[in-house]
Parts: sequence; C-alpha cells; structure tokens
Amino acid sequence: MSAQGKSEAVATLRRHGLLRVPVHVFDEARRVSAGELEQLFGEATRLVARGASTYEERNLPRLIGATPGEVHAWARRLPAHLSLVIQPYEHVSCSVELAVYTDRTVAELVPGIWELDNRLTPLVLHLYPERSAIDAPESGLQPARFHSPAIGHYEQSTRVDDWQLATVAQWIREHRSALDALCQQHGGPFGMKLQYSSRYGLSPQNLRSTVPALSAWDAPTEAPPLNTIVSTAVDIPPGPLLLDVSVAREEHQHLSEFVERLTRSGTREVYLASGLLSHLAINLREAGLTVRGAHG
Amino acid sequence: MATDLSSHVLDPQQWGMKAARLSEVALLGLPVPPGLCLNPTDLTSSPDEPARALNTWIELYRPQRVVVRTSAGEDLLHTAHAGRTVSLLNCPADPAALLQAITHELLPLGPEAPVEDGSILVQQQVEAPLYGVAFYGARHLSVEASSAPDGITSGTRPTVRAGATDRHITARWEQDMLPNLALVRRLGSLCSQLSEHFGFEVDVEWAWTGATVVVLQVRPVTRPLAGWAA
Repeated sequence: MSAQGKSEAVATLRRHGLLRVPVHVFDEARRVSAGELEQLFGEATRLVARGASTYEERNLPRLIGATPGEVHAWARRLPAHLSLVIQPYEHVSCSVELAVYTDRTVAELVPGIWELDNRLTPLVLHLYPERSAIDAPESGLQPARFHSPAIGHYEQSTRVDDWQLATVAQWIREHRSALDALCQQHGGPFGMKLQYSSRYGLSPQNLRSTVPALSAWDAPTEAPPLNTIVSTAVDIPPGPLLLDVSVAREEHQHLSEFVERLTRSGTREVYLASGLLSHLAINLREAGLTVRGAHG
Repeated sequence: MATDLSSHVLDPQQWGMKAARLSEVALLGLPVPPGLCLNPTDLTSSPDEPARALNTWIELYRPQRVVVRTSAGEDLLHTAHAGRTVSLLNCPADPAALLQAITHELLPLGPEAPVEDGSILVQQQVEAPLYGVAFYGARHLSVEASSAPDGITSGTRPTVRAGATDRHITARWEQDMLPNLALVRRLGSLCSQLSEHFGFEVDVEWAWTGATVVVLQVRPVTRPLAGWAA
C-alpha cells in the first residue's frame, strides 16, 4: 500500500473485511446519476459524497447529508479527473485516527467530526498485545463540532466518553489480524481514519500511507521553551513552536499557506495541542518538520 | 455498646481511627458501606447485647457478605500501621458465626491488638469489579487497582495503574481489560474532597461499582510517593 487515493483505500478496506458502511465507488464523478444512487441507497436516503483522486490528495471536495438528486447536481460540476466515493449519511459522534505499527496501535480520539476543527486535544490510546495505556487531557469538556442534516454544522461541549474509548479498544483487538495483514501489505506502519455512528459503529473511512515515527509518541514530557502560535495569520517566531491553532477542513487553503510559511521561516520542530494524527500534523510532517504532541 | 457507622461523627478515642474517619466520610454524603461498631469489652463481658445489635444490623442491611475489621489507634498522621491489624473478608452474614469469628480471631490478639480502646467494625462487603488504593496530594492522584478486594493492599501486581493531575490523566491496563477514565475522574474529585476535609494528603482504599466509588478506608499519606516528583 503506497500513497493511494480514497477509492483504492475503499477497495483495500473491503478486501480485508474492514468496511462496515455500504460504500460505492464511481470512477467518473460527473457520470453519477440520481437514479443510480436511488437504486443503490434508496430514494429518501441522505448521502455523503467524497471526491476521490488516484493519489493521496487531501481536502478534496465533499458533500454531506445530500439527496441523490443533490449529489448528482453537485457531481456534474466536479473536475473531470475525480472519482466519487458515496455512502449513506450517518450522524458522526466520534472521530478516530489510528497509527498501526507492528506491536502497537495508537489511536487518537476526539468527539465529533475531526475535520471540522482540529484544535481539539485528542485522547491518545496505546494498545499493545498485553496491555493498553491512555494519555488524556483533563481539560473538561471541549467544543466539538458535529453535523446534522437539519441544522448543518453545530458545536457542542463534550468529550470522548468511556464507552467510545472501550469501543475503539475492542475494535482494534477484534481486527488485529486484518490490521497486521495491512501492515504487512504496506511494508510498514500505516494510518487509518475512522468515524463512529450509531448504525454502523466504528467504520474505517480512509487509509494514510504515513504515520509518526514511534518515538514521537514517547517524546519527553518536558518541552523546551516554546513560542506559542494561536493563529495561522501571525508572524512566525524563530525556534520550536507550540501550535494551538484551528484550521477547519473548509479552510484548507489557510493550512497550506501556513505550512509553507512555517517551512520558509526555518521552523524545524513544532508541538501540537491538536494531536499527532490530525490533518495539521500530517501536513507538517510531510513538509519535513518534526512534530511532537503537547499536553497541558 | 454499639453504634451505626453513619449515624454521627464517631469519637476516635472511643471507636478507633478507622471507624471515626469513615463516619466523617459517610456524613460528607460520600458512599461508605453500612457498618456497625461493637465495643470489644462488651463482646467479652456481656455478649448478649452486641449479639442482638449485630442481629438487628444484619436484618436492617441484609448484606450478602461481611467484612470484620478492627478499628483503633492505627492510621495516624505519621504512622499508618497499614495492614498490621486483622481484617476478615468474605464472612457470611450470620450473627452467630460472626460473633464466633470475632471472639476467636480478633479479640485474643494480645497486647499488640489495637482493639482495647477502639472497636470491632462489621461492614457490608462491597461486590465490585475493581478495588484499589488511591493516594492524593499536591493536586496529584496515583491509583492502583485489581479485581480482588484485597489485591492491592496485599501487594499483588496491579492490573490498573493511573496518575492524574487536574490537567492530565495517564493510565495503563494490563491483560485484556478495557480502558476507562470514569474511575480515575471520580477518584480524583473524591480524594480531593477528602484531602480538603481532613487536612492531609489521603491514602484511600476504595471499591468501584461502575457507578460510584465506595470508600472503604481513609488514612493520611505518611510518606510521599517517589514518583510524584517526576
């Protein structure tokens, strides 16, 4: 498994028996018809449609909570090279990013939909063959973002509960052999994005070809003196930085500009309040920065 | 003379430190298993009344199983004497059998027996999936837990270890236990309340029912944990 697009990731997940949501991949987004979608998912079913490319491209267009007719109208305006991954819409209560290594799986959990706001400090679960460990912020409730078809995006103060935590731990254990097989197929550690909905439980949504080095999880708890960045718009000070910024998925252009400004300014090391598996972290690593987690 | 553990704040001189602290915890509104304190002198000189009291107490609370412990001059600020007095676990809720056990195993312990000025504490045994010990001081909580009622106090290897401050929790679970944080959070707020109430860093023995933390014993932390400096 090298860097791959969503449609290939869906095929890989299906092959390993990890796909729980009924997902359909359409090679040419523009040719998806409303009638076809109604036949596959039902006329009244709300859908999630995600643009997909042949490589691991981030921040591709998506449409959430739409009818088959709305998906059809939206897909006709997409770039010609995109394919489409479509699944039934479900209310997502919790998001998970996994980093799967040979003898250890690390899960970062946040309440709500992670892509909508990556400022949340995740709960980090480490699963080993004979034990598990947790590293959790104790900051009370966090402002998590959710989506409902009736009101669109909304914010609610909450946190990952024990039942969600146990569900993730149990899922990893139950799918250990499939995760090991994927690890072998990939030739090393890989990442996986999952979401929890009440109908389908924990469902893998995508695969990541890169994950943090194992040592990143065991970084010393004492950070060096840091300048804190709380906005993507501010000047970049020298030296290691603590990034406490929020870049919602819809603002991905800010994310790219911000990462570029960091690299141009010579930043080599950053500490993230938002977790090592967040989109921000992925982009920073790919830009060559050393990314460490930050708590407190 | 006998008294219910949760009726009023008990005098430590009369009923022993263990019972006195638990009576304070119960009156704070925190969960403490029902308990009856029996005067050891009465148990030997005029056992009829303690027997009647025990019988009524069992009729009232109908415990499945009972723990019998001594409560006296242990658990002091600088000397805990932890585990150096007798505790009988898994006793049947049978007054006659309990009196016999008390008479044979708790009373004739010689001059080191701490019951002369204290009491015999008969308590409902809490049935719980996890039992353990928590230390709390300087806003830091350390937790060790096991599935056996006396697993941690008797020194078996903990299946759960956790550390928490008001900003961060780290915890680990052995074997195939599923992780959860509710216990650590409940213990944090409970131990903080107990420490503030008693005015010292607390060492709390507890049972976790899944819904609540039940306090089994509170004593001062007599020596700091080495790990706290990390």
